[in-house]
Amino acid sequence: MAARYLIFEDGSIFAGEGFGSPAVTFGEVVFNTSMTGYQEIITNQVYNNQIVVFTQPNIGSYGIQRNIYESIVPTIKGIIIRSISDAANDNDRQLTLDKYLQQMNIPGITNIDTRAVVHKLRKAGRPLKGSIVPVPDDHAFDQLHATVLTNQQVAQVSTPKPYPNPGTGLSVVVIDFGLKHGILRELSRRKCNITVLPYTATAEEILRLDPDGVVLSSGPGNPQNVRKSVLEMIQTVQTKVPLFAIGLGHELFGIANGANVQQIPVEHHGMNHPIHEIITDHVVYATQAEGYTIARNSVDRSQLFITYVDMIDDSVQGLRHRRYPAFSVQFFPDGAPGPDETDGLFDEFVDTMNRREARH
Amino acid sequence: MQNLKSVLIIGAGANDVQHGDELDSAIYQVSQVFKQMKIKTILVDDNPFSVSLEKVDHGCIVPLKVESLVDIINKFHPDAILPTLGNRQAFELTQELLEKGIIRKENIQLLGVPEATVRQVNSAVLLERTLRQMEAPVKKIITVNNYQEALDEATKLGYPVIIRSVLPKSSSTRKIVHDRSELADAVKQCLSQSRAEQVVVQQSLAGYKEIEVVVQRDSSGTMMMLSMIEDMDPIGIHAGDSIAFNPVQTLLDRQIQDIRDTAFAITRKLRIVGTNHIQFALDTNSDRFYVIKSSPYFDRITAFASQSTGYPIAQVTAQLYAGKRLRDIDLGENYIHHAALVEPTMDHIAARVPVWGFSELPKASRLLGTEKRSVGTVFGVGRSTIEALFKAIESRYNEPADFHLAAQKQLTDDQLVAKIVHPEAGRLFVLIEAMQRGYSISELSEMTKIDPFYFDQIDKMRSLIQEIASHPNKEPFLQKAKSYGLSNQLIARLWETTPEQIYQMSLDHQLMTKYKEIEPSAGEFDQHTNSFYSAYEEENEIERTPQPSALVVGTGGLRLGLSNSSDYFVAMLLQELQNEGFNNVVINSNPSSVTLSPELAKKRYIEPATIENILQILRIEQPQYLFIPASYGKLLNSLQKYDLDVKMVIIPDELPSNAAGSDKQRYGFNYVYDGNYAYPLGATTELFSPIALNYQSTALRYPADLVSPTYQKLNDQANAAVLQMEKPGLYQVIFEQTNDKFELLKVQPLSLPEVAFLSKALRLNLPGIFAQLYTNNLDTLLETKAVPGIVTYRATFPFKALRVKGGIPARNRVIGAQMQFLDE
Repeated sequence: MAARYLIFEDGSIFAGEGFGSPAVTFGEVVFNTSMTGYQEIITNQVYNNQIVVFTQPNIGSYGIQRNIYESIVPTIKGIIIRSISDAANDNDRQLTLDKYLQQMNIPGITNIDTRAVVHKLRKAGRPLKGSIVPVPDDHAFDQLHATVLTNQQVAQVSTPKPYPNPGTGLSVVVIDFGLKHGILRELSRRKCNITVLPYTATAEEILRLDPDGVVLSSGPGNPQNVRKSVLEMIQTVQTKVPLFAIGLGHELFGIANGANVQQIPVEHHGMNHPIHEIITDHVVYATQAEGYTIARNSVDRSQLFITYVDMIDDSVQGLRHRRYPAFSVQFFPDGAPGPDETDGLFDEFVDTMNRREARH
Repeated sequence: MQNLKSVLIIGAGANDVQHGDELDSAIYQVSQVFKQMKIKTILVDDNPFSVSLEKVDHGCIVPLKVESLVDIINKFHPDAILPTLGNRQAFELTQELLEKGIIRKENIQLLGVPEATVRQVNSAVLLERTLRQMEAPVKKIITVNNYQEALDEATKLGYPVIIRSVLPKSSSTRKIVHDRSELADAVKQCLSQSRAEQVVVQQSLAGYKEIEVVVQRDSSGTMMMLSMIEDMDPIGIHAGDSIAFNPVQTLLDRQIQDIRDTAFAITRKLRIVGTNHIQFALDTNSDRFYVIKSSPYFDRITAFASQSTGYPIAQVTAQLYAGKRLRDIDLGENYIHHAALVEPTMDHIAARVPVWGFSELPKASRLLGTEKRSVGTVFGVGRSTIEALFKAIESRYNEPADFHLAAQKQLTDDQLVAKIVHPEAGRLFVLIEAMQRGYSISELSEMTKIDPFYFDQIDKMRSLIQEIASHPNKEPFLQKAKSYGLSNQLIARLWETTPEQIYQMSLDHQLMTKYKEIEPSAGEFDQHTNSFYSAYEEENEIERTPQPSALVVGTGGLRLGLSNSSDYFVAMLLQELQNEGFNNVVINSNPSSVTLSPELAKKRYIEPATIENILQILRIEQPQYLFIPASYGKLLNSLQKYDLDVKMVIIPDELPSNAAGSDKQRYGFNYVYDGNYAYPLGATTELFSPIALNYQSTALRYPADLVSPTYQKLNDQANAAVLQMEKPGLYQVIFEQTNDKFELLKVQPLSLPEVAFLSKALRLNLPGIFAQLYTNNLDTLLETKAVPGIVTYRATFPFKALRVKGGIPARNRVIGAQMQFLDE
């Protein structure tokens, strides 16, 4: 493996070894504390524009599996790990992580003191730009400083065209903001007949398909940078059919109903925070990947209930509309990777659709 | 549970192959929390090596029998009974108490588990029924009464299958049948052994991955997963004998989540409050998994999970027992708000390896199977699988030499194959040698059912060793070796030099060890457990402990002979040092050790006790005192080569050489010697062993049955002998009796098992007094109170568990002990 360096906009340099793609990469560096599911994390479009530090030190032990992708063309900017364990000697194994990252043009760097990087990010208290480079010289830093990351991330990752995922049950339209396959998997498991639409879909286009319900998917970046027409779409659709929003979709749902979002000083990516389910008074765990959150005091209580709260940072983790059958969660109820404890939300969504179906 | 004022804890009794220090450690920690909550603890146990017996409000040294428990209940009228800190036996005793009706009559609550769960823990059949009812995946078991049916079922299940007699006439008959040709005989034999004329055809899980999960539940139903641990060896080798990793190394998220869901479901169904350790078998070909066992009590795995994640399981569980919910628990200023609710996540890897007793029991079978063979455990923590494993291996101090890599070279190819297929203790080195001889990963994986990932790691270890060996004294390779966790000892062996030379070379190249904290949020939060491990990386998280401080080197994994008396000694010594105002720093690598309890030290280093680690840590901590076990002979020799600015005190953990029994009766006169004066502690005498047919130092009574004039005479003689000793300490003078004559054989340091026994018999903290001798704090004149009646001590031995035929009791083979106060 070739020597590579992880450099940060504050001038710090970490020496390591490269794997995956040899390309120079730039991105916002965030850390993920999950102990499981590196493949799902790498292929989650929520990491568009970002370089992810894995706190789990050993990555790659089971290579790449054909049936656990969360997207087909991942757009993560790179990964930073402590040690790679590609079972390289074994011919029977599927694709190794190293080869996969080469194919997908994703750079990786290993032998990094990832715990030191996490401490650095935590103390910085703001997102830090970083780069993986072959030589940490002035030129590399100049390039890093000059790099402007796009804020049109959803446009980059959303499907350009509608496509179906046929099923025999209820018809569901999924709006793709950076869709995670887990959402499709959970809906398929419930036999839904799915149509995935680009995030630009208008309310009219959606309702023309006469869906039983609409899902707003998770996705990357700042919800305020998503075109405003999306908010109008949500405002209309929620009055017509059941709506279930996840991640970025949840943030947009909140904004569409009068709430504000705020940036989290240190992005939170993991699956171990206790989340309070207010209606049942239960504590549950779910995968979280968030850089933005609904400002709690901006929630218009005449419009929305708060349904879930992160017990560590008190962040809003779920909303429900008072008048319409519309609800949302900040976390990923589809897991992949992560706990299954909140996958009942998909059942709830299906039940909601069924009840409306019965009324018709 | 507002009214919880007193709790009866059922102890675990003498240590055995199944359990070591971890239960004493858990009781100690739980009772400390209860104390803070103003709940009185009553502990029933007869283990002389228990620290807890001396720390709880009422330590009751009585036999662990239902009759004694009834007496204790009638005496103390506890509000609750806690059966989860005394191994399976405590559940059996609790069930007997339930059957006696005393629990209901006295209106005593059960903590941790409801009555029904106590019964299910005690009965595999009941538990299995519950698991089936809730549709948890369990192995298939079919009862048949003839060969044809057995054949049909075996064909359906697929070989291998296990055939068992129903209601066997003699002891267990259980046959593993690998193919059809073996079936007829097995069925015939088992049928003839069955009183019901029935046999059970049972799916064999042998060869599947063994996964161990530790979950936690509170009274409001909140559940958390604290750890998921992977055993390197497949089912068929006892989990306690396998190398184990926290976290799991080869599982897909999907498998992890399915297992987690099932573990939660079982824990909910059994209405457990506290921790539950559940074992699973995972068939990676079909992705199916099976529940093997649910243990809602503390054990070596909960201890390992706690030490390796930094999540304080015992402290939290104690509060759950007292009725608190997880969300109400405050872990104090070193943790964030609601830290108890944050599932531990690791940015390091912990490898646990078994410790064997073969140095003391060379004839014990080394073949690994479903019965546990190891006697203790040590662990290593690192930032890669390899680093953790190298450190864990280094922590085994007393392994026979033929466990080392070099010994495997002597094996013929046939011998090697035999050892691969029929695994023996210390198999890691066999597997390294196999890779060295060119076996492929898939071949070895097929032969051993060990995941290819581990062979990949083993192969990396192998090539790393080769690479280092062929570049002697080269700095970049030293750096590489250190970053993978190779000890200076190993590097020195490869470079044919000394560990001291390697240490010097590290200093010359400014290759300094750095330390990282074992902290359960992987750096997300600013939290501190004060447990550290070494790492050769960028960041150093260590700071010198505030002064005055004492560095105490623990005695490592459990060793036959001392059993846990050494941990008892070190723990009591730590407590005394703390009382004297010292900030304790502990080095240890035994996850079960009570000395790693957070209450006993300001800081813990999870490291092997090697010269490099001790020198590094001395450099950082600059303590006033260094306490170090005498049994680390090599280490002590090395230390003498350095000019250290620290007062060194030797922990007397070596066993006296008079290990064997004697035809003649012997007496031990015991003293505290402060350098000027010898304080008599009274005399013990050896008891006659009906097994060995002689007198054994492993069975004692106190006081010795000597008439007063004899006692006085011998005491004077012994006293004079002790005054000749060079150093202050705890001493024993041995007399041998021939007819009416008493011959003074020798003066020796009082052995640690006897220190523990006498401390309890005399209600005197002898390890504490030992510490005082060296910290010059022995200010009061010691007076021993006469003990009413007789106190006996009987060591226990692992012969039966380790299948050693005709094992002879001896001092160096002790695995545990029991003591009893007899009224005269």
